[in-house]
Amino acid sequence: MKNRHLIPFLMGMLLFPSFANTQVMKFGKYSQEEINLKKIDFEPDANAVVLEEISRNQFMGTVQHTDVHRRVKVLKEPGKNQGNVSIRYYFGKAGIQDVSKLNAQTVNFVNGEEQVIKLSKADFFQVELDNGWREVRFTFPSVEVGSILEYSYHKTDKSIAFLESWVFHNPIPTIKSTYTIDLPSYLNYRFLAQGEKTLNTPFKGQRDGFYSWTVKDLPSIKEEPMMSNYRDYLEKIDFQLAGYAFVNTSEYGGRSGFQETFATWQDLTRFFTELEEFAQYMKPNASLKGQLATLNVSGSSETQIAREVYEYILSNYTYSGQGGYFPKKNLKSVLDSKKGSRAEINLTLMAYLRQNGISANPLLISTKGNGRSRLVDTPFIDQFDQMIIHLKADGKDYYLDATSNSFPFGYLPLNMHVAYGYLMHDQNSGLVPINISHRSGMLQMSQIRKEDNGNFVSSSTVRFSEYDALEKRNGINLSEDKKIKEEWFGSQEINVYDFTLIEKTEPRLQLEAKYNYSEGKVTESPMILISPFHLMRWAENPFKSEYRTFPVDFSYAFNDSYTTIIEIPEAYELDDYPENTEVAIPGGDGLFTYQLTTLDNSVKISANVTLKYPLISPFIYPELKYFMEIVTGKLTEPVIIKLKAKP
Amino acid sequence: MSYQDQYSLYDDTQIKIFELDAVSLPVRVEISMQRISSSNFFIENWYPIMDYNQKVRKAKLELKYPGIIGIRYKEQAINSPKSEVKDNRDNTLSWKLEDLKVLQVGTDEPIPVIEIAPQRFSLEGYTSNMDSWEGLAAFIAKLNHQKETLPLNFSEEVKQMVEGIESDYEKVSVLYNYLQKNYRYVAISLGIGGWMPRPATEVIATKYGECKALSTLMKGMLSAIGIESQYTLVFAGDDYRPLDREFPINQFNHAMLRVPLKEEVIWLECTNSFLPAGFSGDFTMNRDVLVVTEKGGFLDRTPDFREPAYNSIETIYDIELLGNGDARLKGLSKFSGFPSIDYFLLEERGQEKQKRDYLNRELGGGGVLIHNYTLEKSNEKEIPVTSISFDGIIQRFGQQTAKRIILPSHWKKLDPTMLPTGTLNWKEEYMIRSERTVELESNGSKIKIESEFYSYRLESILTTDGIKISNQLEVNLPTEASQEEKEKLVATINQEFLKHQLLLRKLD
Repeated sequence: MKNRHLIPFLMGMLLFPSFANTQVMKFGKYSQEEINLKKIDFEPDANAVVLEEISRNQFMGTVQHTDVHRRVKVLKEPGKNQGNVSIRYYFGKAGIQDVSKLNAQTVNFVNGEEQVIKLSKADFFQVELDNGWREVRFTFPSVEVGSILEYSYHKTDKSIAFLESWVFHNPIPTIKSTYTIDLPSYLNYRFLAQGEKTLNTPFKGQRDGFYSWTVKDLPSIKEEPMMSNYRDYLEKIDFQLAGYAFVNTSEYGGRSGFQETFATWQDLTRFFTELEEFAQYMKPNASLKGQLATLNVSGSSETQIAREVYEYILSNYTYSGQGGYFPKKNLKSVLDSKKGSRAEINLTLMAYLRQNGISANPLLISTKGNGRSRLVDTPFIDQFDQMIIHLKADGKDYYLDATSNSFPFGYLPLNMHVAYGYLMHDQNSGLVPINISHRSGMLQMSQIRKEDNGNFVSSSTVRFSEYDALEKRNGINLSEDKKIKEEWFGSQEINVYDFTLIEKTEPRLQLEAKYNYSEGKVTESPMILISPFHLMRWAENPFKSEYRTFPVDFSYAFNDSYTTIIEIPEAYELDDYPENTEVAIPGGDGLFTYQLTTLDNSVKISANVTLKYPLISPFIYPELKYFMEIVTGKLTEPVIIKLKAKP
Repeated sequence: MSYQDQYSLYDDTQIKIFELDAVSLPVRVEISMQRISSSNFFIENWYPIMDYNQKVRKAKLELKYPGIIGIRYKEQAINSPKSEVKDNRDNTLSWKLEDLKVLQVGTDEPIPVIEIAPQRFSLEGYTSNMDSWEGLAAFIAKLNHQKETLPLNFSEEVKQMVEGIESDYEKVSVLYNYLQKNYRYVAISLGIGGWMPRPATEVIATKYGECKALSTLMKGMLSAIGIESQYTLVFAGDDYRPLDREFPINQFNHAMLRVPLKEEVIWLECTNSFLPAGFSGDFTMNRDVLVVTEKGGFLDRTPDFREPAYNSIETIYDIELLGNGDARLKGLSKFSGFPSIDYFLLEERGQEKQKRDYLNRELGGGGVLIHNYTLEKSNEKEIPVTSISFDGIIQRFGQQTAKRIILPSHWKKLDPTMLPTGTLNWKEEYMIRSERTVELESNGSKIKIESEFYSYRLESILTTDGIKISNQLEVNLPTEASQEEKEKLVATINQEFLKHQLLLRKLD
């Protein structure tokens, strides 16, 4: 019988000769190329490089066994920091994951001779971190420029519904990274590859259930300012259990078969919502319903009721700071303690909403920075990282996250402004578009005139709408207007007086400030320069780099409108002023207009900045940078008036 | 769980955590704890109020100790008398506090504390008396005893490294450089290892070590070439609180080396990998430190680095205004002392894109895009100096109106981080030419502003080559100035820069 199994295996070998030819990395055996390598072509100024790394995965029963083997070369002095290694894993209470069989060595090549320094058992330190997390830490001795640092370890994982992602990218460039997985016939996984190279890798192995991805020549990945998306560009692979074979021996005669886990989004929804921790929120029992019913709502419309419930949760429940999409505590426990994780608080909010007759459902999203902004339409839970609530009230869609007081009803933190989410529903669960409609921006109107005491004063009204109102509030209490003044005007704050603030929430969130801004006393000089605007979105151009790799994320679209009327004092006349301008970035997503009109004894300056879409491609970054240079420069340009010539 | 600071690879300190989870408030929590220590070296200070915004109704401290071992303490803002009971063996000190005031976050009020230090003490068999700084230093000397001894052949290598070099500073510098290039900072604290350096032989074998071990190795290397130095304890970083010279206590978190040379004393920061020997920025500057000698020790003070040589920037810009509002830029900048640190770091660690981003941001005001540059590091002994010559363009230089071009008199703004010591000497010179015909609207000017903490001089003249602007800013803020005062001064100075714009009238 055994031989029969061997035949297809051997045939596989013959059919895929390339596999046999591929050199396999062996611990302690280095190729001449590796020894000679001093610099890598695709990233010549790299400080260190991953020569090769391999993660080999297989299963024994329902435990995943992983052998990781990694080889790094130090190319420059700063690359020596690769000599410190931390391997993090989730031990939980009883070894959900565990790391063993550590092996590490530094290899230096002195006059062509290999000098190997092995680490001993005492050189590996185990660190216990918070909440069941652990780390093995160690440092390589005698790390020099040219050293090869090599280590391997064995990792076991008992939690196999979702396998740990393998990221081919590293913070340093990677020449070769391989992930192999040997799936037994009783387990079936769905996998999700991300990144061009990973997607284009032929991965089917020489036999059923064996898959292998090798990705080569990956540059290091570094963060840039105003980006929320760099993880989207990582080459990586994820796995989710799609089915398993089972044998039930408890029944007479046994029963066996193959259980598909999540063939559809509805399957996935069912799986989650039926778990003990989750079930109560979806279908509270009579006593929980009784508890939920103790909240009295007075609103007459669905929106009003939803708003009341949302505000009740905000002011009565404490967010533990734990994000995520899965509740660990059930409804009963959260109702009692009034404290919970994001999923727990939002599900409690949902339970209250449903109790009050409002249609609300869990919505799983992949927040900005999670690396899955392009979701795939397969029931793959690992794409998501947070849970919020979707509700329909009076025919309108609302998205709620009741974890922060800073966000009034209907407003979501900016990292949650994503295009799609996975809506969990009784039926037809699946991906749905998220439409957060808002009209954010700043409307500014000022009148500048000379007062009797010789001071030039600008009387302004500035109205910030929606996300700009939130941004400008910045979580500060309205009564602390001094603090807000400081935030807005910085060191110019001393020139601002009669500052008043009002916040409106209906029909949309707006923050309105009225104030006077003193330009200071102007002596009877023959020429006066007057700056029309004092409060700009950007004091200076935030973009300093010449080019960039990743898109710029402005977080949200906006429209800013500036209008200032300068009254020219009697003894003066208009002498000089900025020229009218109209510019746009290619594609027209960013627009700027600047216009000056002269009236009898006044001059009106209007400027408008519009950003139609918050994500700007790196391809037009140079134009965006120049556009911003014009916007920030133009808004500070002065109007010049001079004393009239005496007749 | 394990306690890990941000510097160590591993620290064997364990902490116990109690988290209050899933309870309805208010709740009453009682915690009692007993800890047994086999040493009296680490006695914790007592803070009756453990946190801000916290009401303390009652707090009590009882210190019972054998009379012959002794204990020392120092009170701050403890408004309650202590009581003392003695029997033939033990003394007992106790404090009872009631109804304490709630401390608000950011308060200037002194935080109540009883600092406690041993008199006679021992740690794993090493004993001393902390009554004096000398006693504490003597203890450290015991821990360090012979740790700096070098293997013979290595000692020879060290001697060869400095062969033919005359000046003592140069010798120190060569060895310091060798240390910087070949040894990594890695801290692993196991047991007494938190206080006892790993021996030099081990550091040489592994090519890494913590601050204590690297200082000890350096001490050994210097000793091999006949230069004496002293191991020194310091509280490094921003959280430094001045030592009370009258109350010796183990208030240190770092080790460095004091090297008395003929003409000066220099201080070596042995964990730094890129700065010249004798300068480590503000990490350990201007503070009391405990110098450990063979048998004892003394307090000394590190330099404050306020001299101009440590705080100066000089730049010459050559700018050609283009018709479209942009400008061509050429320049030469020299940074010395603190302003040079980031460039040294960038040279060592930065990759090309980072370097360019940094230069675009730092070499001028807004809109700079550097095309070519050469960066040269050179130190004048312990003073790091960087010279950069560059060319490129400025997107939208100055402001434009229909009839004029308005130029800044000081293009780059001052930032509070540019004043780590409170002093700065900043000179700029601009030569500005224009593609289109322009004239200087005010016929050249001289401005001089003298104020309590700064002076600013500005001169602009029209020459045959173009418009020449020279300015010089000198800041002299007292060392003890608060961050708030610093920020205020910076705002005032930036405001001053803005006041003196130059108006050019377009003639074509």
